Amino acid sequence: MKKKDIVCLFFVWFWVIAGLSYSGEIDILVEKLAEKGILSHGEARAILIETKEEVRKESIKRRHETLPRWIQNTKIKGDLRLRYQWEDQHNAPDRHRGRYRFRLGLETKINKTIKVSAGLATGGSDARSTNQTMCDGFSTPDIRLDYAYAEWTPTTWLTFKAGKIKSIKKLIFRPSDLLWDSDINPEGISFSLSKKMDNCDLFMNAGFWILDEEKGSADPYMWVVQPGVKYEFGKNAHLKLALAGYIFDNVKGATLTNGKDTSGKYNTLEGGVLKYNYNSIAPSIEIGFKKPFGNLIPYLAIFGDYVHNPDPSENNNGYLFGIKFGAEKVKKGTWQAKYMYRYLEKDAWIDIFPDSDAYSGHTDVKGHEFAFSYGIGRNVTFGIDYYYMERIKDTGRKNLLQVDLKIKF
Amino acid sequence: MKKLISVIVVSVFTLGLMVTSLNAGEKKLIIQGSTTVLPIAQKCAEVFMKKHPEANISVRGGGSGVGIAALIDGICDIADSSRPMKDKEIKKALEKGVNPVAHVIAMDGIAVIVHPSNPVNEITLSQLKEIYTGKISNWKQLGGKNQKIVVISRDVSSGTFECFNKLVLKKERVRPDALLQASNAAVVSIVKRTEGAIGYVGLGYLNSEVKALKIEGVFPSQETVLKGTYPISRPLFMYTNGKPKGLVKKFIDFVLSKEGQKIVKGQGFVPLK
Repeated sequence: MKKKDIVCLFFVWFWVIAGLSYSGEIDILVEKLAEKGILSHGEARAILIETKEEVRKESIKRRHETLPRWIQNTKIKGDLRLRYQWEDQHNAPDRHRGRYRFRLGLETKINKTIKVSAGLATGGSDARSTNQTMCDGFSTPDIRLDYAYAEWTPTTWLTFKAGKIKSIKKLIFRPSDLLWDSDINPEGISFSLSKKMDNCDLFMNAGFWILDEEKGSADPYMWVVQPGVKYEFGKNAHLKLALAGYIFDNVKGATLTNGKDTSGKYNTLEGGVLKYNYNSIAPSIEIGFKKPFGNLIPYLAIFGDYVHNPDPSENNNGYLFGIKFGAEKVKKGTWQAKYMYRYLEKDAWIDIFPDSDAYSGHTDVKGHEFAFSYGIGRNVTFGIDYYYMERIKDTGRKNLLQVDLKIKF
Repeated sequence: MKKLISVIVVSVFTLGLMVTSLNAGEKKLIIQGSTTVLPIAQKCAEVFMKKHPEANISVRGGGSGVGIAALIDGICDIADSSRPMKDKEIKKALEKGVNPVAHVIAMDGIAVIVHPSNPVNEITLSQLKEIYTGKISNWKQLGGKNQKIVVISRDVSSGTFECFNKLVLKKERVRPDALLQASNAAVVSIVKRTEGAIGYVGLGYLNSEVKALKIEGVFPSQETVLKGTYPISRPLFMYTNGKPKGLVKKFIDFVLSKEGQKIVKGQGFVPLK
């Protein structure tokens, strides 16, 4: 053990165990050692800083250990979103709606590798929305199970999740909600594998998700496998690229529901059931730049999603491209602006999964989305989101404006 | 059902292959974090690998927060940081069974420089902040000549700016007409040619062609930075999970050795020895 380490350990012991409360006394002792040439001034300074850090760590550790074990291992988090929503739809009167969303989640660490998470949320059975509309003379709304799953991380590069798993956006890389509304929490098993290398992170996401249980026929389910790579060009730019393959089974010839909508509103039906299969390939890309214009724009990214369903011979493609700039993550005093253009043909993808705000989440939809959010305080965000969507083949258009106040805790 | 089984088998096989191939070179040392510490870590790794050809060291930037998060997640062996860990980071580390141990590897000190003909010798931290935010714009306001102050700053991506911004500007914006330079050498070069100029550089870049100002009555020097009396200074850290062992220990010992500290000095920082 080195001279510096011995001195450092001695002071940590003296401070923490013996309860020496005056940091000034330690400063004087170390200075004396430096003056006598036992330590250099640099070593003396390093000892003081390292001792301070070690004492701070010990104090945090002690504070933490005095809490009951279940509190030490459990985290509670949630959010409340208050929303004003204006809708102007083709051949329908304007709507002005007051809505809110409340979510409460809990995560408990069972042991070093296993965690269990569960969350409650407002809203109905709709997989794509946890909004509660203000209506029915102050009636008491429902609160439902939003997610409940177990997570096993046997090593740092491999994670398994099973149950009703929180947030599709944490299971696969999807820079936009062209195919998947961000409120969707899939049911089944997922796993992710990642490996960091020099400037390059490899990852692979995969999942087996159950879509329904049929009593009289085969159950519909789906598979996703998504290998990808994130490459960093120096410290200020990155490219993230992934290719998802989706395999659906027992979907052709069936109908699917997400709790609110039933497939076939815009997908092609034959005899009242889905005419096509939806096994698809979906590449995704994101290119990000840090501080491309100095502090004015701390982050800028362009991104895109594409989907192709080979089963139908027409109306089987979809794409989205977008740009976002401002803060990478909106915090107090920072902002982010985003623009996206989407084009999703009738049978490119199942019509019960896309973003429910883009023409009610159907397919056969094209249009623009503009979003802006600003951090007005710690964990408090103000946001505006505007959609202008049109039917591609059919007739119709829809304007949607959402003004949100989000509070996280 | 056959299809399901075949998909599972193919996926597991693919994953297995990927895992096997990815883990082939797992014995290497991974260092990640602060962009300020990055040049020290890179140069030290380069020299260390020449001395120990069996060692394979990968050095990445990303920022102090990224490095600390990587250490907590077990992705890197050493986290470079230009700030102490935050309480919530320590708490998170302890919850995950990681015991972060701080190693001070150098000090970062910034000298404020002016043209040698400038009669002003010292300045306070608040005056310095007012110069850089535009509230003081003439040397006359500081007892100098009736001459406009030409403010030279560093581009926002530099570690020197990061340190100056935190310790002097307290995250307020630099005046928009400040001339931004890409390197310490460029700042020295402009200040020595411009009478009304003021700039700031790492301590290692001071020379006789420019004049360093006292800050709060303290002259910038290796000694005052190490004693903690010079106010524009901060420690630079390497964090490890527990007391370092094996290759991690060898590398930390190398950084703290005379040879390693010579590299620290060569990169414009203040060595501990």
